Amino acid sequence: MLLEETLLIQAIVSGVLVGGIYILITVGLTMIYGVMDLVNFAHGSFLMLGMYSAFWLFFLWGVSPYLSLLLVPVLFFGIGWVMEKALIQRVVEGGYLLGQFMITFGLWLAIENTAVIFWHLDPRSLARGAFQTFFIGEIVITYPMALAFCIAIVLSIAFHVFMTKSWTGLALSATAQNRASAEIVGINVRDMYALAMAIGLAMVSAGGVLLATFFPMTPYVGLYFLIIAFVVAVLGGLGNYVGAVFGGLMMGLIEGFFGFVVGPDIKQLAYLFVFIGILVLRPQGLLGRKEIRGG
Amino acid sequence: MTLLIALGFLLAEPLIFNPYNNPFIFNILVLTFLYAYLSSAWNILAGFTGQLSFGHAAFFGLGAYTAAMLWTMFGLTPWIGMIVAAAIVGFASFGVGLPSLRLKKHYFVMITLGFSEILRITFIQWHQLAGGAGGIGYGVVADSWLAFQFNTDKTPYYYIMLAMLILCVLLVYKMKTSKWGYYFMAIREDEIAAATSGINVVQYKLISCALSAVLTALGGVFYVQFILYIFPDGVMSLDVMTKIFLPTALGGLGTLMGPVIGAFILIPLGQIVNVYFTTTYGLQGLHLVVYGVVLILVSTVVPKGIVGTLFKPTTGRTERPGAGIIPSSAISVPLSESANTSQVGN
Repeated sequence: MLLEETLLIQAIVSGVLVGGIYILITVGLTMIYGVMDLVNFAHGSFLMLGMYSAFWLFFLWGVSPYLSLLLVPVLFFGIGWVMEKALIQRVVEGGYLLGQFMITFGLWLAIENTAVIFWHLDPRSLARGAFQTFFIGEIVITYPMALAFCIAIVLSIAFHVFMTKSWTGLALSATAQNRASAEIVGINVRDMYALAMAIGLAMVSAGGVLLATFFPMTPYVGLYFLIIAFVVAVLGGLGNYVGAVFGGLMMGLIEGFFGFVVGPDIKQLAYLFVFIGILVLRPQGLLGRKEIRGG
Repeated sequence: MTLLIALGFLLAEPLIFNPYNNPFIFNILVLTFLYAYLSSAWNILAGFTGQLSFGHAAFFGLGAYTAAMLWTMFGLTPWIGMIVAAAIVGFASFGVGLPSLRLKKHYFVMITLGFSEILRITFIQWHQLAGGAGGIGYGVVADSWLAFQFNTDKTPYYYIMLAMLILCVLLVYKMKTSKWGYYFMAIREDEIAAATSGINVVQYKLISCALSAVLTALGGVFYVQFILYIFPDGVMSLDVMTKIFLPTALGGLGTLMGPVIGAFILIPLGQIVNVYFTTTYGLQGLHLVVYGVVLILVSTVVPKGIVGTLFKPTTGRTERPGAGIIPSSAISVPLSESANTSQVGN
């Protein structure tokens, strides 16, 4: 194989592996939008908190990130539930669009800058020394990324099974489709809101823990991934969590490809243009049906 | 009357507190005027026309960069820079507005944010002329109106910004009772009804967007002349966007004085917290935490803002600006207490 080609395939494979994390981040964001009609600007901050949780658990008590993966999402599930019940529910029920942005924006500002105060801006990392790697053909793959990708896919499948097979999952889907009808058949819509937020934060914190195994963290990392999550969500259709899986892999592909072709600095521009193109030409997403919520 | 007294005090303020002796108070006041101005401009599009734009930081930055680059490259006076900036941002607002103003609600917020990020990254990568992430620093010249720099006696900055703020508020005041204003508000209340009544919805949304963007760009030109330094994250980041929309959010969306009142509370608060805690305890970013907490409190306690809560509109519809003209209670079946109050969207 030519060197150029190998490098390009290498870039794309790495991109798609990171795409697994994008799925975990976006599934929550897009489900919260679907169920609650709310765009959670604070979503990236919870990714950042998930990363720092993994870091501190390891740093202080030597807990392996893969063990943290069992603990941290439980904690964030609780945080999400309480936060929704205590704060966000009031705003969502007002049906006041600016209020939604105010509260999630406010949470983002408060969390991110509190993190800056306590943890400062120097990047931290869980990685010690060089990553262990293995080869497929001539492609180098690092273990943490491969493992993160596999766990992310397993979690996404588990989430899909939960959404399609369990009563609670179906109730969530019903609320997303039509909340008045969901209420008629006896679903507690308010609890569904809190559940959507709780599951969303649990998923994004799991993504954060996995991301921490190979990506350095600063308090500002959240915003970078929030923008990516927006792009992924829009690629798959906002509110469509199956689309988020497609969008995450697609985004990894786009990022890997453009990162190689135009360089890592300009790849952000590439996917932002994709983002705007899709919003303008096909706002229901590449997979979405012709039905725009909130339109 | 209260307004006149307040205005009289503000006009006389530099005579009482000399900016040379009280640079802290002086800086706070100028920044307060600036953000009151920017927030009023944002309010035209967001509050009166109902299009929540999260891309105004880009218009602000683009205006600032235009003037800065004309000055550093050609030595062109910022007054002409203002005209050029207004023209460029006016065109840019059409470029942004045409594709995005067709989108609804959350989609509009996200696409404007996307445009803003594109511009910010472009300027970070634009090393040759715009200085990349480091930005452009101004050479300090002697005080002159032509160069729009007043480094020894900063009083003119104060009056220029105050005049810009007053003109902007007057403009919004006139707009409220003009044909345009009524069209904007009709579009905000119900686009379909507005279109049925013969309003060209897209055209008037574009007008509103351009008006708001051009005013924002002029604020940007002032900002860069005042700070004498510009870099992409300082003028186009989400932090700046926060400062633009926060005063309106606190004061009241779609109200005349809301942005001004909001700015007069928030900007001094933020500056005092910032300067006090950063210098005393080294707590960087605490003022942003304060802003975040204010946002959370306002959205849960007084979602209509200070002005919107104190002065109920006389039109009979008191809740949910931006919702349909038919009260939600008339179209939804009140199943339970929550079914009535929690009808989301349309």
